[in-house]
Amino acid sequence: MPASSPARWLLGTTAGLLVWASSFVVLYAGLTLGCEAGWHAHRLYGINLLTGALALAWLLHLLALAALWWWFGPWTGALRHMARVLTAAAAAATLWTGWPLLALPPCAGPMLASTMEDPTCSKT
Amino acid sequence: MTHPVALHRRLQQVWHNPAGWRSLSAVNHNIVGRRFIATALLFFFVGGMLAMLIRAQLATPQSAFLDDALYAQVFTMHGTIMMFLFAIPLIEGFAIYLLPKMLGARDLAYPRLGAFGYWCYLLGGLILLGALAAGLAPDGGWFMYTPLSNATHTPGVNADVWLLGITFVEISAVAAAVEIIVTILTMRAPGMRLVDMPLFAWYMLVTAGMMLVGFPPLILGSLILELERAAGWPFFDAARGGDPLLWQHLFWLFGHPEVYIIFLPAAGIVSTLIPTFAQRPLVGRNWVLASVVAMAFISFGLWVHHMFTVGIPHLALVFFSAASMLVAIPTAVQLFAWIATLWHGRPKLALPLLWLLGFLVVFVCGGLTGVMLALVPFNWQAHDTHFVVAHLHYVLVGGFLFPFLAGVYYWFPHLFGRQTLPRLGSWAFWLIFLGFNTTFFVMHLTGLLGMPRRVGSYVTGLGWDLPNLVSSLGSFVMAIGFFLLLIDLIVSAYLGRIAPQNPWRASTLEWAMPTPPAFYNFASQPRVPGPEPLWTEPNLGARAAAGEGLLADAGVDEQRSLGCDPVSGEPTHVVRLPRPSWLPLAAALAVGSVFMGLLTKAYWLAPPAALLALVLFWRWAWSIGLRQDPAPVETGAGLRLPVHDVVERAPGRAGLLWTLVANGSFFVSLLFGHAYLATVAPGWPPPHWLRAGLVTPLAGAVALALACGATRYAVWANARGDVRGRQLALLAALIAALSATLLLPAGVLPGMPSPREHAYGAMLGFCLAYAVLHTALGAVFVAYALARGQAGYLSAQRSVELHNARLWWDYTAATGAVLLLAMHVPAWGR
Repeated sequence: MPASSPARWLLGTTAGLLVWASSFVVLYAGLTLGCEAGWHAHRLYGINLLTGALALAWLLHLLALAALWWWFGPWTGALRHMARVLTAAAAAATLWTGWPLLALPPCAGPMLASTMEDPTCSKT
Repeated sequence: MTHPVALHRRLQQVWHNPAGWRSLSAVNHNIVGRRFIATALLFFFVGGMLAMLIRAQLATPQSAFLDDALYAQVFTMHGTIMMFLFAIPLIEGFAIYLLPKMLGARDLAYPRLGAFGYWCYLLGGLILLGALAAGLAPDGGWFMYTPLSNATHTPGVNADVWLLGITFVEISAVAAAVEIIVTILTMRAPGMRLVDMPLFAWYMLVTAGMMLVGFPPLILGSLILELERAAGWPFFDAARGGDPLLWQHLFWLFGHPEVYIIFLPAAGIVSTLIPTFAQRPLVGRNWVLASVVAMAFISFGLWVHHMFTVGIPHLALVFFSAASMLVAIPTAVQLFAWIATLWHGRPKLALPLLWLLGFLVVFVCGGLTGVMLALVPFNWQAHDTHFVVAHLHYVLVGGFLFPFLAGVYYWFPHLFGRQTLPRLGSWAFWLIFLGFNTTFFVMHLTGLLGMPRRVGSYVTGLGWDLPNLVSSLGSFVMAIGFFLLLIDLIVSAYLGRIAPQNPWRASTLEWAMPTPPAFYNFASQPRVPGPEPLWTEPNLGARAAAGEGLLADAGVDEQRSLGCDPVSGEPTHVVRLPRPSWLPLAAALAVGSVFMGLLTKAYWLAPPAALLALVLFWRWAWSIGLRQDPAPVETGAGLRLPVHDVVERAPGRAGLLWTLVANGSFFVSLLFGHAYLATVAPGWPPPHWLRAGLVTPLAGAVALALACGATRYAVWANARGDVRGRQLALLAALIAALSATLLLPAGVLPGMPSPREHAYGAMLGFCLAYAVLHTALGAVFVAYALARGQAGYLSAQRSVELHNARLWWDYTAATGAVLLLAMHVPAWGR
């Protein structure tokens, strides 16, 4: 890919934030689906299975952002600056929006509509 | 070199636009942009009058001024008009009018598409206004929440008017977004690098990208809600496997980015005006650009903060709460950059700057209450109270209206060649500023005292009487201010002093031309010397007018503008632009007839109107193109460039690509809706599953693959000069496309449960309709390429139609395969 190609610009300005968006969607959708599937009722090595799975997905996204930061290193000019700033911003955003999963039980709160017919199915 | 006067005279002839009623055929961006701006301002005054009715009603307790039903129509139409018929079209109008000038181009990439978008907007708006005049206006709130908006709770056409009228207007917005992106990326002046683009263009590029991704979820939501109302398909009916919350998700997937879609262009105006008034470049330009991109992305992660009270696990609420607070940071980066620019410059207080200072005050207050509402516990308390109404008006009026009014005053001399009256505008500003804060600051307190929104009457003794009266008095002060502003603009347009060229000593290219501008903007397209061209080279406009730039050839009887490399801005080709045409108006009327047929339940009207629209679009596309390979064009300074028909960056190819981005957003929203209902909605699994064998769906998949493969082969054969192979491949692709159009429904319809029985059947029906629509349109694409090949419009060099057919089929085959899996796999073994 030539240094000044439009594809490189598109990648540099969006890749980091797309990883953040992926992390956000995976955490939100994973939480919903995990609560539906009852993953939160199981434990693995003393860790809530759903929390562990979400934390793993979160960590993988952070690693992907670290890899992007490293990959943008040799780039030059204004694009390098913008790509690295946006990757750093995406990493900070991923950390900030994801950390609550380590602090809260995953399915606490109002039950999902689809489980309301079954009073024995607790989501907390 | 041609004498400058002769050059201008010749360009006037080439770029001539008819006058009188024939001007309805105009497609030039100067005319279309002005029409958008004027129409949007007209709708603003209609929306403002509705706001006055609301405040008159709420001024006193138990007021009998409006009854409940009328009040519901009034507040629904106020929100709808301000969001869909004022804010977005005003942005489009500014972008359409200004962008070619700021970029050093002569017109937009698709002048006819811009005109088509305007007519769609006007017709959609007239449908809504007509309904209001007839007492049939939407009355379910601008958010149309289900189940309130379903056919049981809102019978009649009121909700249909909203759903169909707004979808019609959104077609206009998506069309404008495609036009803006392609113009910004490929039609800049020579040497204008991507990083050096005017800031307003950067903001509009990001905003247009957001529109492509953000609007389709609402278009999907509107279509399936209309299907539920008209045909009984229960997407949102909890008793039949639907879920009202799916509507909220789809609405706010659009609705929250919409706030930033409205704010970012306004911020682009701020970032353009503040350096002008400070007479220095924007502080931290690259940081601002990065913050705009970050804001665009993060704004898509906030939608659930409108749904904090609907019953979602706490952890999910905290994800969205965190994202909602996070978006304040890139906003703050821009705010500090603006303040620092003013601080380091030598600002002179002119009327546009006064509006910008008002913006800074009001928007910061709105931003802070936004952070308050991002906090879940506070949100639960303030939800659906007047606190939220006050907050959103601080954000939208402060963050959008004030900067755009600054823009109106700033570019007024450009539009009319005259200056505004010095005193009247200041009076208008202060009345609006004071009236606004009186109205809405007090409204925060009304909300904190517990007054719910969307309620037209309240009893006395709850502490709401006085704050409501104060808000109403403030709103009438504001209304007087807007009345003065209107007088100021009208009088100044006729009686204002003649404005000098570049009256604000700005740095951007739109001021490098006489005002009001000629239809072709620049007599020749100048080379741009950096991000502040007129500060670097003050006589650049004079040199362009003298024909010292590119494309100054007076002997050409064709409207032309330069095309460029998206990153470096170096010219790569010449774009041939269309002249005035009736096709945009006719096509908009045909599409409007489809919507009117659906709205009035005259369903017989919709198919012939859709067919007419298809014929008109075919005619539209047919009128472009060449039957011979064109020679490169001499552009001046010894530079010869190919015309757009033979280059990869032809506007037609780029346009389809970006349209498919919007289509992809629609498709992902559809998959989300399907998955959401299947996993979260009550009443699942459905009573009956799809019963289909393996053979027909597989045959459908093979037909999709064959159509895609044959189209690709046609492109390959064409590049090798094999005309017969190309035409045969296209014929094979057409047969495969028609087969897929028949096989896909044949594999689903016989064993499909009734779409009225359960949301599962409704989703199957909609997914099938999406796939079949795409294969049918794919057949049209291939048939069109075949006909063009037969008529001599295709060659190894001229291949836009072929590439578009290939691109469409790549998309259709990929999405078709996903839909086949989504429809058939869950039903296997049931």
